[in-house]
Amino acid sequence: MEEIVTQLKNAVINYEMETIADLAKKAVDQGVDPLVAIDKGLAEGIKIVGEKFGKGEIFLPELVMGAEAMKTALAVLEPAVPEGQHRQTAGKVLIGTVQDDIHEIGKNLVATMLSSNGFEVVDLGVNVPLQDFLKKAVEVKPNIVAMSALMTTTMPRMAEIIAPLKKDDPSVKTIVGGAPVTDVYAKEIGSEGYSGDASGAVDVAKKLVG
Amino acid sequence: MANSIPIRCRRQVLDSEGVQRIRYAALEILERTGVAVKSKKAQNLLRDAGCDFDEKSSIVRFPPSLVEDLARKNKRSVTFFGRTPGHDARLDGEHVHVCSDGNGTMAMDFETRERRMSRKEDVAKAAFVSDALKGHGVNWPSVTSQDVPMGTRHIHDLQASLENTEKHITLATNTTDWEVEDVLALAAAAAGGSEEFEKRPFLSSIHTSSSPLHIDAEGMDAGFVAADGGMPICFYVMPGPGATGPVTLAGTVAVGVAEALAGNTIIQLHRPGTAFVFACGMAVLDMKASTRAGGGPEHGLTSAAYTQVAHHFGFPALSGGFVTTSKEPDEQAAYEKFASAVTPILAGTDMIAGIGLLEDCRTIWLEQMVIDDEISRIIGRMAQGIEVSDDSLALDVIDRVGPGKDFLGQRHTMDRFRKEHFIPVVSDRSSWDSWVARGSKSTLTRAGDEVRRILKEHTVEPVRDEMGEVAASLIKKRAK
Repeated sequence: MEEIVTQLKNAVINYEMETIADLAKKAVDQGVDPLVAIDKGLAEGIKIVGEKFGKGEIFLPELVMGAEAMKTALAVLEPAVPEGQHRQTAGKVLIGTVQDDIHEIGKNLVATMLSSNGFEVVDLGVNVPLQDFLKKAVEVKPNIVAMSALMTTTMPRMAEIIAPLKKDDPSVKTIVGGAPVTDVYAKEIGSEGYSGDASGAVDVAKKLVG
Repeated sequence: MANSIPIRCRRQVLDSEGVQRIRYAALEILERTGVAVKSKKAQNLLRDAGCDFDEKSSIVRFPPSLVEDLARKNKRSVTFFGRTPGHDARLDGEHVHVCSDGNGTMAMDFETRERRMSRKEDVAKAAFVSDALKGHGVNWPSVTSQDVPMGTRHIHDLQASLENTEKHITLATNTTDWEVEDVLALAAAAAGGSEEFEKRPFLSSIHTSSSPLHIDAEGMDAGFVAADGGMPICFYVMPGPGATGPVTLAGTVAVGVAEALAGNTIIQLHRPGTAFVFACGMAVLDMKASTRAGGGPEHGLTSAAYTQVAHHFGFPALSGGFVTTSKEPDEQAAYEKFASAVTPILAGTDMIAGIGLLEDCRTIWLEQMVIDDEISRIIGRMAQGIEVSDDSLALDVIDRVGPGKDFLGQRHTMDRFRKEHFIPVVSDRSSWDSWVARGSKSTLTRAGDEVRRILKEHTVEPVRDEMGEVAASLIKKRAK
């Protein structure tokens, strides 16, 4: 039983995204506690991948492949987690690209970086209306809401979301990013976090939940 | 195989008519104007081979047929062997090997930040740092040891280099026959006998003309000893357009080619089949500052043209490049080094020297070595061009990903990005805030961090103990 948990960990470390789903199914079939498989298998594996990336030993494609492998296995393991139990995470982040903006590579990179550093990431996708951000925030209770905009025309959407979000939950923090966004703009619209690139977003998130 | 740049996307500076005209021009210079050859031994060899020799002026006039026949005697397949087999540099006309350069006399002390005369420790550190560089293939001691007794510099330079690099070493401090004998003794000790060294000569020897059209006695006689010992000969010509060559680049290249052909004729008459490399550094004289402008765009052009003519005759080429007259690793250093390196590399020169030095090859900065390595890898990517194949067109991958998604999570990406993309070591491509968070470091500071990392983490295979013993006894014998 311990062996298959180690195998899951190694499958993430070795980017085996094509075969990891079968391994996760096998774990469930063998009666492995899915939370153990996630925490001691997948999370340990992605932590090592994330550390290697931080040290510059590996690059984005490997990091994304590792995260993809983890995501694939999570899709199998999470439904098997008994009601009321939760995996350990560094924090929960709700992320999305704001309405009228369909650019997602930067947002995806931030999501990957965060999940490979122990955060649970709920990704709303692109072109996300204000109401969807608010509704999902009430539902999943994130520590951080992260918003992305690539165009100067969609940037103001981020400002519109922050006030109602805080009204619903005063403790929630926000992070904004995207090519035209600056730290000055982030301050101006009352966002606690800003990063100019995906790698920097992890430190920002850690500070906000720490 | 040593680190090298494969040339897939070649850009020549001469068309085939240009190559032919320079070839005939060089042959005409040798036949009509001639070359002053000061070595008695060389004079005798040339006279016996049918050259016209004028005793009073020492000028030798070469029959073109002799020059072309002896060009064919050159050993065609030249390998600059490493001290260890993983570092062999094959000069096959298809790869460019980046070489450090060459006998500077000043150093920026990495610790004290003082610009001072170069010492043995600088020779050692430069060899060690360059040994770790991914874009670098051949070591020419960057500076020379000036804190050692007169008459022993060549021994100290070679010892410090052998102890700190596994790569091939090309030497220019052995300018007399007895210095070459010392070098061969050290080489034999490091190889485990002279026969072993001759099987895999991991040293080559640089000898020069004195432009225009003059070959010194001492250096040529030293070259004979080096050739007898099995070392490839790099014959370095440096006519400067407007000063020691005609102001026009074509004319200066013709003078350079003539000098190199004269050098080859002499060497092949002495020892047929010697590996002979056409080497050059033909930079203009700055008409205002009255200095050699090694970082000028003309330097790259002459190196590229000379390379083409060398290849036409069947010789590998070692070109100057990566040169700057700037005094510190600044913007001028960056653009001059790029400008003087890009043309010869894309023309497919077999070796290009220059990395690490500033002030026109005078002062070593370890940081500049790392920066130049980055430049060499950038140009290397340019030389690699764009490969078009089923695999690189990736139609199946495009179809699998589909509209609106990204390619980052594809195995096709992971397996190929290292070859397909240039990956920087010192260039900072992070955003403003990430850069600030890491201390707002300049390029020079980041390069210094990389030097420090190399000094801490890199290792070099030790050289045989006998080499140190032979060096010690030679130093005792030669010290004045």
